Amino acid sequence: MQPPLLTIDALSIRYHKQPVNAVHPFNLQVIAGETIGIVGESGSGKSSIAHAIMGLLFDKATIEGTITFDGKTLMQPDWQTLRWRQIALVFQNASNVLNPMMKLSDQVAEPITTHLGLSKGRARQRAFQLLQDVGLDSTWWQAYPSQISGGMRQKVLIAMALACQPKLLIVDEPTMSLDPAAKHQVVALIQSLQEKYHFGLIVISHEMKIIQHMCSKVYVFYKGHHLEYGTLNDVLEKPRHPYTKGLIGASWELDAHRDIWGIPTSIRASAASGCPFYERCFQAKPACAQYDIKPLTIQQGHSVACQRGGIATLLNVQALQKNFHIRHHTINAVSNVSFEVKEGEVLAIIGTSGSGKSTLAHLIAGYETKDAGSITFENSPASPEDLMRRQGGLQLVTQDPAAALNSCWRIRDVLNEPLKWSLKMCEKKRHRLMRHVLHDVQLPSSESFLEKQVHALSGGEKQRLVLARALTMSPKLLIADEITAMLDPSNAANIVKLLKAMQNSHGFSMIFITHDLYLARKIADTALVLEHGKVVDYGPGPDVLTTRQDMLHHRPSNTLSSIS
Amino acid sequence: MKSYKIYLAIIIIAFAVYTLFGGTAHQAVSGASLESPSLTHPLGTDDLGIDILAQLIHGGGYSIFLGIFSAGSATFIGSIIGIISGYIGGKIDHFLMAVCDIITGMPQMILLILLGAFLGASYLSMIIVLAMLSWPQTARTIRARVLFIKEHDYIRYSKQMGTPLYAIITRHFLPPLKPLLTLAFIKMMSRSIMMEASLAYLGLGDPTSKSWGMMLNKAMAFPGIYFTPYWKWWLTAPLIALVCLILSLMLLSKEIEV
Repeated sequence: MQPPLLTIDALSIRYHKQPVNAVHPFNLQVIAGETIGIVGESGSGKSSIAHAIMGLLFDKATIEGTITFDGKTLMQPDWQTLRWRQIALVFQNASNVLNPMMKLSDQVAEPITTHLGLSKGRARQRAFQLLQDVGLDSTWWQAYPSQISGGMRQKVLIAMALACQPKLLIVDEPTMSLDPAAKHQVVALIQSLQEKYHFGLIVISHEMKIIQHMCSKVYVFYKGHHLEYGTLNDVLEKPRHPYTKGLIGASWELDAHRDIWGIPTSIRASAASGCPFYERCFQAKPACAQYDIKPLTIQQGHSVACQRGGIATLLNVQALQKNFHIRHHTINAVSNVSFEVKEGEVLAIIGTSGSGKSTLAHLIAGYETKDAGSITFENSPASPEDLMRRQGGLQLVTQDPAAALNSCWRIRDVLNEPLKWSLKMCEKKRHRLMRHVLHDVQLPSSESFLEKQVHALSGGEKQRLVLARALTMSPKLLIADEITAMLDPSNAANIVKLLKAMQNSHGFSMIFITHDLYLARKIADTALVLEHGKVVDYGPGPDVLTTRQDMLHHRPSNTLSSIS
Repeated sequence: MKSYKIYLAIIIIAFAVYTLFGGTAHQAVSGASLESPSLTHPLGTDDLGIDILAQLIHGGGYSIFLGIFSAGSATFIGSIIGIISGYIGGKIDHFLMAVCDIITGMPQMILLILLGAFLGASYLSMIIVLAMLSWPQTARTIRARVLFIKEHDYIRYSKQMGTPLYAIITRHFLPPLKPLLTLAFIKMMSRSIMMEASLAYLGLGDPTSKSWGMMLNKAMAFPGIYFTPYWKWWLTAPLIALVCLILSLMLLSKEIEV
């Protein structure tokens, strides 16, 4: 293996007069010719890392840890000779990074004369060469920065960074605010230049598509903490940190069919210490508030800084079996079905009617008793009754809201039932929670509405009420069994949107049972296809759903494809 | 207000007022025997010289309350057994339904006569016997209804959520059963009144009671009543009152049914 070009060991950055580190200790490694990506939301310390590697922060911040470049551990004075010559940075593209009074060719020539000591003429020659390399048309070489487009400006910035043929290039948000065509050009340009000059490359971006195109290894940062490291495929296909999963879920460029959802800003009250992602994490446990993040070791391969060791498995179903006996026939409603649901995951169970979907849901929720098989919840065996009766357990929403609610009851009675009998809550608390969940499902929470009888509600409202009743138990897993089957398309779309939004903001996992492939594609992380009670396909949503295209063609033309 | 309701109301009110003021006129001799109707005795007197109107007023209430108590206890027993049988199902269901079958299969009138003879013909034993004989019908209707309601998802949900059985029964099952129970109650009431009258007519009722059936029995027992004019008030008055009462209850149940 090649010796690493750049090694960063337990580097931390704390700006002067700041109470906390901007970047907490982390490790990083770049080999010549290799591209690594640093991803994270804004404010995750990505740019600080770039500036630290460039040695630009010594008068602004306290830096601890070591940076080894080309076999030599760097001290502050070393950067005088290395900066721009060996390590260069392409600044974030902005109108103020270029000198507005200087022609483009002169701007590119300037670092050549200052750092390499070449004569003006030779420097200009070299500048022309570089501008040609980055594909900028010669008509623009004598233009002023204000006269060129954003894409061109990015090219000029790349040319400037490459002026001294550095061994390591850092690109900070190379494609921000560029249109797709220009983005593509810039990415292709950087890649072709890397092939030509064989420099090590660090790409800093919050755009997953750029990272996917350019990088072989990915570092995920959040609030200055290094949360996950792995090869591109590991991180994108099997993200282990909830934050990484959230980032991928928010990237519409990665999967055109899926709905996008940002990471919720806050699920619970933030913790003073512990995991920085605690307040936004869908699988946080009390212990996470005490978790002390250690820098990840790069040599280990795919690794994650998570108290729970990455995204945990919530529900595990093994070899579930259910037969129905009708006269002398035995019907295998569910035979040998195994699957698991991870925290924060949406599993779509797809099948035609009679494929055993609902029976499966009923078995998990205990509406039917299983013949064989095991169900574990959070790694411990649990009876459906326990899971249904506790907070943070599971809840089932069935397809017919009219059957799921006693129509003689008032709305107050409906919501009271689980709170009173399962949670044994006091009257005052019940009332507060009741109004809270009604608000969550976008139903009125007034006193007069609470007194209304269920039969006065429309189908859509009833289904919302059923959802509200499930939410009172703040479940970790919600089983939604064809919840839109009885609703008109507009109501169905609203309910699905609402459900997915709540899934995102509350951070629960979901088993979404449907016969609608279009719908499943929009919301599923993983998909399981059932036929005659058997699993015929199980895997990541996009894979399963694309290979199951054939199911789409058995459908009548007037489908609910309008749901979006 | 329908006339039959007024009729029912009059019987109850008249009985209540009569009893409240300690009326004993239905037992006391207040005139000569076998008087014709007059202002002092609007319906005349019987062979012992007791006022017939007083007997009628007392006997109406007697019959209605007998009906209410026996039908009430039969509805109570029937609904409990129906709910248990339908909700729990299994062996208990089989057993309870078998008991129902046995009771409904036996000839009611004969059983009534037998039991009446064994238990003695008091007011209370009459109520118990009537209730014991009428609950199976209610139990069956209730059970069928419970089986239907039980299949709803909300019942499964309540069970899974640990809602206690009494709450499930009172909150989920009883409200929709209420109309059924009212209907069964009224029907049983008229049946009970009829049975009591029949028993009394046959001479198997409480001989000291002054129910309408017993009045009929006494009147019929008067030798050669049809050769005298007395039957016009002594026999017809309780007969018409009884027929009207049964008709009224049937009309009431019809109205509830629709």
